[in-house]
Amino acid sequence: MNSTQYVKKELEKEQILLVVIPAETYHDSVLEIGRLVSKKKTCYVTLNKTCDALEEELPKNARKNVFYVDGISSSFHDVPKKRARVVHVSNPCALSEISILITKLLKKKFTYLVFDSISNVLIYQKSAKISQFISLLTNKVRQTKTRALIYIVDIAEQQTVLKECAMFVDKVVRL
Amino acid sequence: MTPMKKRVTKQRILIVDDEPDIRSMLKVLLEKEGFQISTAVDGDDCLRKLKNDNADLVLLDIMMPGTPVKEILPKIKTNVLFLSVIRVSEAEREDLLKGSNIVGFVQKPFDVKQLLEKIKQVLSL
Repeated sequence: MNSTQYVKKELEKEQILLVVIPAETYHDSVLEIGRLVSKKKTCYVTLNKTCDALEEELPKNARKNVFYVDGISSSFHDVPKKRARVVHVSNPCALSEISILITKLLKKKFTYLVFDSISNVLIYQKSAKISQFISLLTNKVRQTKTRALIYIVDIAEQQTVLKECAMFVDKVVRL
Repeated sequence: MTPMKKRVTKQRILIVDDEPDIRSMLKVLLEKEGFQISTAVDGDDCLRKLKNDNADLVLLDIMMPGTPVKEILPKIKTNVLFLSVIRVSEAEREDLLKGSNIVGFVQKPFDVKQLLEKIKQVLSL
């Protein structure tokens, strides 16, 4: 069973997964899962790739299904104020801004919510803040039927935050 | 009478990355190659360091805490080579490379040999 099939199977059983991905295969795994979830209505919170980079790699016919919350593009280039299917966040550490946006977007009944990734937020925020954010995020998701995938890179330095965040999800899936 | 020694000035590189491991790994690697290395932990630190001591090349991580790169870049007058863990689209990459002092974009994780070649090429060694 490949990683996508594994994630798909687990998503059928559980609502919220913390997906732990090795650094070496991170890019490929994220894209593989991206291709899977983009078949359905998906809210994709990206702090790891720009929404343009993601869109380039997703199947063309699936693009209309994905709504992006892009937390990185505005850090290194000017972004349009209004754009279809994209909301730009001022910076990747603006967790309150991201949280408010997700709360609003979850009302739109997405099949999937992807949060990519805890590891990227760790560049800017302390693990306690991130755990608090993940707790809040999972509570919001549980009030809906949306299935959530929260990504983290499998590296030694991030085991503390991984353990903390694991408490708020239904299952930790290691790829 | 001692022969006159030819004075060789080392090329100076400023490594700007919030990851201590990347900074120290690149510092060791590039010092071994004969470059004079200084480091900065973020964009603001980079500008402070450049004020005191110019560099021939800045290796600049594209995503760091503190002031965003788009605000830091116009203040850097020397050559900049981007290091990026962030994936960007082809169009965004081309756009980034349009800056007159931007000499390249290297995706992390990078191949050390290729990075070294790129640096030598930029510094015309």
